[in-house]
Amino acid sequence: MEIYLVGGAVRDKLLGIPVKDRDWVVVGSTPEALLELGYQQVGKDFPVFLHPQTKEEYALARTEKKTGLGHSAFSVDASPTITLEEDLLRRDLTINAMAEDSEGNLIDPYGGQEDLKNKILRHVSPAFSEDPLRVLRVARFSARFAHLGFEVAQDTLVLMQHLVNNNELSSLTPERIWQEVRKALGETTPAFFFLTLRECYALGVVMQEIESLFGISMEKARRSLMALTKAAELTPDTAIRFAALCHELPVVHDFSLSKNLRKLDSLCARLKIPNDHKELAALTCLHWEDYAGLTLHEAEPILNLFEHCDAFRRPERFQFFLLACKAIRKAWGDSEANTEYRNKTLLDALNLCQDIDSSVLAEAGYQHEEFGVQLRLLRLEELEGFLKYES
Amino acid sequence: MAVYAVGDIQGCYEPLLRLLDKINFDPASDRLWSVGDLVNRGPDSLLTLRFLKQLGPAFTAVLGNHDLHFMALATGAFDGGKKKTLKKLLAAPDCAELCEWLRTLPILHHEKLDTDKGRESFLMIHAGLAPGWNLKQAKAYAREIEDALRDKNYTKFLQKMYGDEPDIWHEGLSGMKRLRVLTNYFTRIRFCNKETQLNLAIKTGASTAPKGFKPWYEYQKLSKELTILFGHWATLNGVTDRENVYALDTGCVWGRCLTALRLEDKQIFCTDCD
Repeated sequence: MEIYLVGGAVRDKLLGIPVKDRDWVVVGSTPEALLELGYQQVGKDFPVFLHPQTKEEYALARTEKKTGLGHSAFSVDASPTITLEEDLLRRDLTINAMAEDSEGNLIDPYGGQEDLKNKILRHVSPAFSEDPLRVLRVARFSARFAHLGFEVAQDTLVLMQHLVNNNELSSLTPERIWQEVRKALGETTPAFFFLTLRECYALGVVMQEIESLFGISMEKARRSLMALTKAAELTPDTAIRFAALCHELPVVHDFSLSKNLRKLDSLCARLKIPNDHKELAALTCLHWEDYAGLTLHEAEPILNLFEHCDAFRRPERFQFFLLACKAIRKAWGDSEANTEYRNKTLLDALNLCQDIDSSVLAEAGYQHEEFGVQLRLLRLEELEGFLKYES
Repeated sequence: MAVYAVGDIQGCYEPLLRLLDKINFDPASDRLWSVGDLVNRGPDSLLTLRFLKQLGPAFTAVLGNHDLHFMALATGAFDGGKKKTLKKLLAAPDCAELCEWLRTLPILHHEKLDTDKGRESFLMIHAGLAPGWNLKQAKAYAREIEDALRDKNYTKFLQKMYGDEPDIWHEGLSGMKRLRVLTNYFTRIRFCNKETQLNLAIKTGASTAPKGFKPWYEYQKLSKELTILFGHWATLNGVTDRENVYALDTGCVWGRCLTALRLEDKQIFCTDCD
């Protein structure tokens, strides 16, 4: 039985970046032998085990054969005769298909080190085309490594286009797509995820609403991706990044004059996007222009924004909203100093309103609507004083 | 492993197979590029499309005007024009499937390959480009047509793409006019003047340019950094007198020959088409 370190850990070590998770491949063994040694089986479909002490993942070397359309239609062979090279061959990119033995020697049968040096994301073998999820994975790796200069190899892009053109992406579940999108939003330069998907025509298939921004005008699409890039510089939070990305999605005023976010709603419903992401994106779509239009001299528009954003009850969400708006303003060319000042002023103003002691109103006998009206007047008064002092 | 770019096939299935035999084409390791006009005029459009489609990722093509015309007929977006030589294809049980496949083909293909010149950048379109476009613009404009074809209302584009007007490019154009003039540059241009105005009427050789007009590639400043591959213009018979600009339509459908250019060393392979 031989054990090798594989995948991301080997790659990141060579790149000189911190290694997060370590995955291991076991060659020449069986599930029974591993269970005997105290490993704990976790994979239902694949022979994957947890180490008794370190709890790191150990997988038996395996090959996979496509049995139908889609991401999970595979038959697995994990017999003890499968070699390390065979196991590495089924992996997606050459830079992810390297291994290291117990003495620290690199095993690199598919040119991963060379591609790492040349900063190329390249498929390992034609078997790449057997799994449509890889279109999203490659796009995600471009979002992770674009800042280091990595690019998708053009023959890999051809295979990705082919998967898209053959309608293979339709077999991916919404949950699986969102999982990849969310991970991609968390990467260093998430805009490259969407650019790469667009390059292989997949964006229109998985996130038609974002693709449609390119159809309206390049300028809109460019600003969406720029806002996403700025958000990624400000915060690791994927909800804020998602809100910045979506801010150009149209707000339609329908017959009843209520505001309608049809595109955002359909995107969130289809991909089953969690509520916190959806809520913040909707709030941002509806109110980022109000934010941008505030003069910081007048109290009433500020109070209106607080009320529309439900900032008194959801102050934390409002802070997230402010960060998303900051990213958007920066995408429009506003400076760090300006946007920082704006956010700080708004937060101070919100805190001031929160600190108002409303018990005096209750003691004065105000109730129900009248209480609300009086509270609003108090808040306005506070804000006016504060803004006068500030300016 | 080699990449071959082939000229307008136009349903000449049998010459295509002979040409592939001649170059020992192996879809497992080689790649075939096509400058478009896969169908129409020749005898076997149906067999040609079936064959090229099953090549999978080994085949890369840009769309030509005849391919777009076939798609318009197949989807019922347009009824008219010449279709005699498309009859068999239009009646085939897999006609819709083949049309769907064509919808996914690009208008422009740009790719860098390792050749005997080092890392060489190739740009392939069916007919040509407007003077003054840089690579980034050309790619973005081509993408507009590709997006229109991938859109769910794509038959509207196929319906409205016919016509020679407007005949001059202008960034301010929008809607169908914009798409139509872009389509004419990419898939129909031969002559234009330095104001980018198109002349779509004249189809003879380069030496017969009308006054004030030149072959489109004469204006190209792109070609220093790029190798341009195009088809469409059979009367050029493969001659552009420009380095790095390859005219690949050598009139197969007119009984001359079908040409393949090996991109790595620019060797030319031909097969006669009697």
